[in-house]
Amino acid sequence: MTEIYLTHRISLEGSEKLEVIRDYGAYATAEQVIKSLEPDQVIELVKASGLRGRGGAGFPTGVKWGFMPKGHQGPRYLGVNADEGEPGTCKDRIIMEQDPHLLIEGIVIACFAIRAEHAYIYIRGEYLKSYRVLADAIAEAEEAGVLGDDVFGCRGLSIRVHLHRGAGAYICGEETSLMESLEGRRGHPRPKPPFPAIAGLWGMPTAINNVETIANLPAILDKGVEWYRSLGTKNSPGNLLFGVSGHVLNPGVFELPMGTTVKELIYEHCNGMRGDLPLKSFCPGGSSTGFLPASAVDTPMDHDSLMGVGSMLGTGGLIVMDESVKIPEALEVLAAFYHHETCGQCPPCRESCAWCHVILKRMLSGKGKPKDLEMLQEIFNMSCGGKTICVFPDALGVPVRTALKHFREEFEALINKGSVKTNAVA
Amino acid sequence: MIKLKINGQEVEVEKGTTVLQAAALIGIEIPHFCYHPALKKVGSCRMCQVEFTAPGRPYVGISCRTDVVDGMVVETHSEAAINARKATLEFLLTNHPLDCPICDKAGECPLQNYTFIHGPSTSRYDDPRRKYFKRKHLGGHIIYDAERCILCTRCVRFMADYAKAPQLLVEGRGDSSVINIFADRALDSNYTGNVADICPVGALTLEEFRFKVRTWYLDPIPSVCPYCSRGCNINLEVRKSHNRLFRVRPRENWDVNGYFICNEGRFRPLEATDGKNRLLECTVNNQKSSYLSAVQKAAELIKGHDGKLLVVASSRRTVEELYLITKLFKSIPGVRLVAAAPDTEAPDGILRTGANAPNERGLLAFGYEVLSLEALGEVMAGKETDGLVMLDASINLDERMRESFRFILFMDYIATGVSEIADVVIPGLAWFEKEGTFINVNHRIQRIRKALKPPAPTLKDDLYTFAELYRRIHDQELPQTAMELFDALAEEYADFKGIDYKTIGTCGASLSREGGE
Repeated sequence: MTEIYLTHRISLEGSEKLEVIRDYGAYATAEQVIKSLEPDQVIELVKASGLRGRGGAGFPTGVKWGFMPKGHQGPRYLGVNADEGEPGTCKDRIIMEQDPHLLIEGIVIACFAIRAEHAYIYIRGEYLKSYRVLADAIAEAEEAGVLGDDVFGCRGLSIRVHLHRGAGAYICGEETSLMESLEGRRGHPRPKPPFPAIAGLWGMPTAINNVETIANLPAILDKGVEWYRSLGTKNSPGNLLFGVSGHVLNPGVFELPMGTTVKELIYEHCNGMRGDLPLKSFCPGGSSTGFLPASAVDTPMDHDSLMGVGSMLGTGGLIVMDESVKIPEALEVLAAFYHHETCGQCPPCRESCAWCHVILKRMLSGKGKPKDLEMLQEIFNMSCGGKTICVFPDALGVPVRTALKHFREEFEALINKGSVKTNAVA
Repeated sequence: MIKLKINGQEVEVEKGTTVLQAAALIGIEIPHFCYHPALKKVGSCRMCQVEFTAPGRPYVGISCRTDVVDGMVVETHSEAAINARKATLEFLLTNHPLDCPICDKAGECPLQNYTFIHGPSTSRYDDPRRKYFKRKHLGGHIIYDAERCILCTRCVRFMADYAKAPQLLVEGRGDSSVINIFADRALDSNYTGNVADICPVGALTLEEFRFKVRTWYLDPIPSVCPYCSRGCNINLEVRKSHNRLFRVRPRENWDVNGYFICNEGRFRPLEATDGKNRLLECTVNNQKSSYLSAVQKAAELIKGHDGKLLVVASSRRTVEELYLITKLFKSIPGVRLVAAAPDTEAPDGILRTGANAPNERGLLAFGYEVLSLEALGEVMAGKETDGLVMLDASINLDERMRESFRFILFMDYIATGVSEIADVVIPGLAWFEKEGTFINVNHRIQRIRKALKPPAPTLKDDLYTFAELYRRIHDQELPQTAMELFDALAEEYADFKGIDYKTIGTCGASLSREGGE
């Protein structure tokens, strides 16, 4: 049986309550860390653990913290990205709703490490339950002396957690637009540099970390770097919360080591495909990681392996599609989403998402043209790869490229015959 | 200092300079939309992309927000850079209405110009273009066309950062974003006109300018705004064949107004040039008269006064006129030379000084007695004067004042209560019809230029009239052009030493006194 440390308490009745999980080790690690380590030692341990961000990009967390200037006078901030907007992703919600104190304990450790007094949790607006549970948990933690002034009785150590609800914009999950939104402006990504570590929230050094990333911290500091590195793969250590949705019998969130194969996820943990239709395609880590063919089902779910097949680990939100799915239609759904969600400040992104959507809609209405496929490629050649402030166009560019690479014949059929045949049972 | 190479050319610039600015210093223009030197940089339009080939791996990036570093090598015309800009333009044009033939911006439109220079000549987009509203009145003289807008947000940043009136916003998301006002509350800043200038497309247009004239028919005449003592540098954009002013736009001058002007300076000249209330003919005793006989009559009245003559000059008159007025009257015994102080209001903290006349400093330079309007009224109502020479159309008389003068001469270009009852009226020229200089609040002397021909050929330049009077009264010739007069007064008055029209140029010259407002 896999060792689990993110969802180990969620089966307990009332796992969101401090009184219930106190006996299961809640806040013990944080207290020990604060009382026995120096902040820089924590950063070094997190660096050594190889913990990589769970928000999608997989940047090493300790390295990110290390970019924050050492001699800075004045406030530093921790931003907790709980916007969870990537289609197919639903893992942070499990932590926030069922073990909010795990997140808060991680926040206490992170704040101590980067010397931040204030942490802001930017929570997806639609996550009303998560918000309520977290708000109660924060109040409990304040009551228990875990948050507030003189944390764990350590004089002069203040840590405060603020909850901020988003208003339903995908782009606000991008760390710089998250900061803009948090500061009260439109959620438009900021040009980098400066990076948030240098000038983030209100111009101060800021670390923005994903909920799941933060939730990894208590276990790393409790059980040690070596233990942590024994889980997962060399370059992708630890467990990941895989959120599986789509045409499987048992969809859900599963805590498994990095490197678990897609096949194992679908056929062991999700009890296989729903109905009689075989697997056709899957998006390994949320919609922006693109469409991979069924033949890639043996790919281990870790950063390197998925890069190797032209995709990304992303958020680990696996979307499973059986043969009833017409890829051009699925792609059109994504195009509609990204067309709607591009913030619109950079013309290449704003217009490429719109253009792509227009072409796909026309193709699906039976009016596709032979040059459309070239154009779809070309649109994203023109907009992806650093041509915009953030990487948003790539989030549609990857699905477009992978769909055309692996399922080109469906698009060609759509253009030539006006429709796509699938193996779906009518 | 930082050393870098742009297109093979070495350039040395100060730390903190951006690549775009460094390129401009050596004459390489990098196209841009969202960047404006007076506004916060957002780096969103992606038009200023260039290729950085060193240090590090080559990459294409924006130049407006990238600071120079030592050893940097920049190529503005590598294949990658050209393609990146071409792509940006192709994207911008996918949904642009391309209604240049009816767009007011055509001819001076950065999007149009860049498309010719950097863009693809054809579009690969052949689906229907987005439809949006094309004429929304935002208030403050501004009309918005959402189809033309490329969302560079210059206008939003201008209103928030410069005009200190954050009344514009980007509304909506992605390609359904538009520029809008909050909850339909109309723009009410005094600086709104500038957004039409800085808009790099024809999305924001001025109600006063829409569909009036193609921009290429306009000649910009450099001048100075006369509506407050800041003396903002402006261009009077006239269509010569129609002898008509169509537009006033700011003229960049970092010693005065930077890039912008207020709405008063932009729109009041349009009203002033409409010819309303203009005096077109000389009158003597309310009878139409020839110019020469009016001047003759005026000279006789001045010469024949009984030793108490009140001459009211004006802070709206040029330095050269004030000089000639001084010269004309100073040596006549019993003359009192006065002028009304300009009406004042609170300064707005941006450009408006609060003193609503262009040349109060000029009055002081020649030692005029500057009185408040009330004090001047008292003087005019008093019995101790024989005649009045009124050279300021902004001052009126009441009944009792009329009775206190034996005769009244009036010289200005607008009809007033005074001109109606004056014994002699000699109309002059408006500030946009003549040459001369004003001294602004910071002791900067600046030139106004003749932009329009006077509405009647019989109208004479005031300088000519003053010189004529001088000849008839003092029996001596004086120069009649502003330039010659300036040379003469610069000899006479220490304040102007070492300055001539050439030094003043189009940007003005500081009178090198203790400055300050």
